[in-house]
Amino acid sequence: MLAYFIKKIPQTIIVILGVSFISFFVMHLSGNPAQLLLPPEATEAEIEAFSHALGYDRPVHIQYLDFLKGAVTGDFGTSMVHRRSAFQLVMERLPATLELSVAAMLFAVIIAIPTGVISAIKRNSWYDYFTMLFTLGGQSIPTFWLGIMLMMLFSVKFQLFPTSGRGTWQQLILPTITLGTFYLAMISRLTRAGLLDILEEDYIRTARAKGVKESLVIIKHGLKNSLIPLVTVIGLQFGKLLGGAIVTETVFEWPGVGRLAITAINQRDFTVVQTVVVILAITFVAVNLFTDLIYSYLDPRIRFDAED
Amino acid sequence: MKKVIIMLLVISMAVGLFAVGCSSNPEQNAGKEDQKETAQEPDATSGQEDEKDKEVVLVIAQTRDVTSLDYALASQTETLNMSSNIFDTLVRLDENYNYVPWLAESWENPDPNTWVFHLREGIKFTNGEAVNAGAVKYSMERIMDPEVKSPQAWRLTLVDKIETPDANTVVIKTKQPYAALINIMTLMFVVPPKAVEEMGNEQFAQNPIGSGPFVFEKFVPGEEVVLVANKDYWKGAPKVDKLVFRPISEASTRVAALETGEVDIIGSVPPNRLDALNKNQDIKTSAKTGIMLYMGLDTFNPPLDKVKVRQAVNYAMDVQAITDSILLGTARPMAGPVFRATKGFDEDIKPYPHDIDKAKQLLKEAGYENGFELTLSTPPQGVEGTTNTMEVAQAIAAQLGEVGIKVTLDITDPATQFERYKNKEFQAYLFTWDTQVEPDRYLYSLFNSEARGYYYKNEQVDALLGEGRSTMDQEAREKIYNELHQLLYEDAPWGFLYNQEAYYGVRANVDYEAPVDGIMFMYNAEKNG
Repeated sequence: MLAYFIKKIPQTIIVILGVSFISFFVMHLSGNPAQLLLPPEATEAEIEAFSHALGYDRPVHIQYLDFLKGAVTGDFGTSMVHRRSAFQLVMERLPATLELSVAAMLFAVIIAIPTGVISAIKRNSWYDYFTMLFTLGGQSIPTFWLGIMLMMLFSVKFQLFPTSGRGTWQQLILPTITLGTFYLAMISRLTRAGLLDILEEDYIRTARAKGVKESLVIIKHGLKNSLIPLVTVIGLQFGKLLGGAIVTETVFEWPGVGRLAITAINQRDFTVVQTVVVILAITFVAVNLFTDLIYSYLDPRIRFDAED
Repeated sequence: MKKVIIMLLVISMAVGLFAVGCSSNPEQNAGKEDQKETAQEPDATSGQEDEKDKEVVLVIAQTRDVTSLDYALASQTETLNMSSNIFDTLVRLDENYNYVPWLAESWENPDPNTWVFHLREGIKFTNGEAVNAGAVKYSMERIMDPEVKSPQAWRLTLVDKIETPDANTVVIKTKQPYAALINIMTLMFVVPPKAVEEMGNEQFAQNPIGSGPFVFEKFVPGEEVVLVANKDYWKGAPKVDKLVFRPISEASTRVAALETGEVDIIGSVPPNRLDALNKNQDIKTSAKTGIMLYMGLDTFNPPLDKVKVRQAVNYAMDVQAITDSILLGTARPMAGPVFRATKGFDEDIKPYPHDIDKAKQLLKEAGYENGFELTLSTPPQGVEGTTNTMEVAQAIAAQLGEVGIKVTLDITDPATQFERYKNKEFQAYLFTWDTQVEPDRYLYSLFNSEARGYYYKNEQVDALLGEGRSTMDQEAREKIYNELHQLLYEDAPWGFLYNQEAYYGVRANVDYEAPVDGIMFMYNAEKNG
């Protein structure tokens, strides 16, 4: 088990380095950020002087090496827009993104799994058709539209929830629903499909033949086994969620990492963009590793194979 | 089976309870107007501070997050809004675009290269330091210091030195006569030297101390900035007790927040929401200034190197149709590149009329009877979604097509747009610019061949710009810019488009008008009920 993870470490480092390298060079290809930091009235001579003062006119590979040197010690540079440590800026926003991601995933999972199970059991019933229609909608509706519609309805029209911001739990509801709906739909369908497959298996028939109560058959033998691929999907999707649900964060003005990244990209705030990329890469890799762990715990076959 | 049904029922009940539980509280938070104003807020610690019961709070939604509160370190509009309320300047602009005394009681020019400002006596920063000539000198030299890397440094390149003959007199010597300096002084915020030295510039920008009408209380990045009234403000305390600035980047969300009463004031109202807001009894809108959209032309290469061709382009366009249908009447066709607010604006110059025949005739005279091909570069939308550049570009393409000019659209990415512009890649391009009062601040940057000689050079224009910059006499200056206005109008280095007003949405019970300089200065704002 441990060996499995130790083997993964060099792989992980290469991935993170590669990601930071690519994003750094692509960003610098897009031009000099000094101009965006100054008001439009500044003349070219003034922009060049400012650019020189900030070190943006040095060769790109030198700037990259400088970045790496700092990154190893946790210093990702200073944001020229915020005039503060880029690392600190990203860390400030991470809790907000985590909060929203966890809430959205919980919302999705808690509703999706039972509905998926029921759909599988009551296959082809009215309930099933209705649920599948709903989930199709959930996967097709653009997050942007859903968020604004929910806001128009529940904030402006019915005055039930605040429109934006973070702080009270009421402000969490609409963004959670907006962000979570897609995953709710997806997980529900996956649960249904997975369970249907498993219910065809021989061991299910055996359990029924043994006289095991139907509910136990479904939950203990059916659901538990279908959880394995499901957990993998949920884990990977959570990693994606952490990438900052940019659209949801923008619509509801949620102070997360996604919004920070978009603003930084538009303002060419190189250090912040770079920091976000690296930290998200690390987070994604960590979530993947964690998912691997859970997966191997759930499926003993993997566990024992790995130990050989 | 039964268990499954029960599980489902339990879940739906839970969700239902959830929803019901939500409806009671947020009604008070989401803001039925009356309850929000006079802070009988449910989460206010009642009984502890009786003064807080009558606290008047203004919530303002800006388009972007505040990054820094010190304009000396960051040049975003949001930062300017903060600094404007926390600090004082020597002079300010009033609603009629005149410079009025603020920290400075009076000023004069003993010679064209010298400015003498006489400061009011007895004003203090909120930390007790004196607002005197030394503080003014320190504040300006801090910006000029290359170590500080201030994005405002370039504004002071024509300043030679700053002297303080006594505690209440500031003498600024310029390298050449520079009439626009008085306008620059409206952006020179005065900071307390000792506090800045102790905290360092970066720290100070997050915890600013000033002498202005509001005092910094807290800054939660990404969420809000809170300023409280300076009760001891030397001009008299402001009429509201607290300002809360929140970022809401999505226009629909911003408008929704205004409609629910969660915020009291918003800027950047998109034109297509104005109608709905104006019909709303609880909301009013106003606009004073804004931005302009223009089509720059490459005058160095054919066919646009011929003035007749450029004029033809202007005659062929129907800007009024564009402002009516796309901008829904929130913009006006430009009469040349000079803003109405600028002193020297020539009232007699009217926007180029839409005249297809004249356009065709000019093209024929220039030798382009059959038209030509034109590439028009445009960003997908204006800065912060302020204006619909894509739709405008498409309309222009259609209009120019009628006189034989075949337009191909080239969509640019805002981040690389400037780079390409500098590399002279554009033939025709759409750009925006903020409205300015001081002509030197924009005309010089836009048309001087040394500042921006990528697509246009006219020696006569250069000469007039230089003269305008260094003439100190107001009347003489106006004549120069008047001449410049005429010249640029006829030489048509641009396809002149429109001036669009920036609309502010305000709750009906709040007394606040759109600012003439685009800066949200809240000193005179009031809130009733």
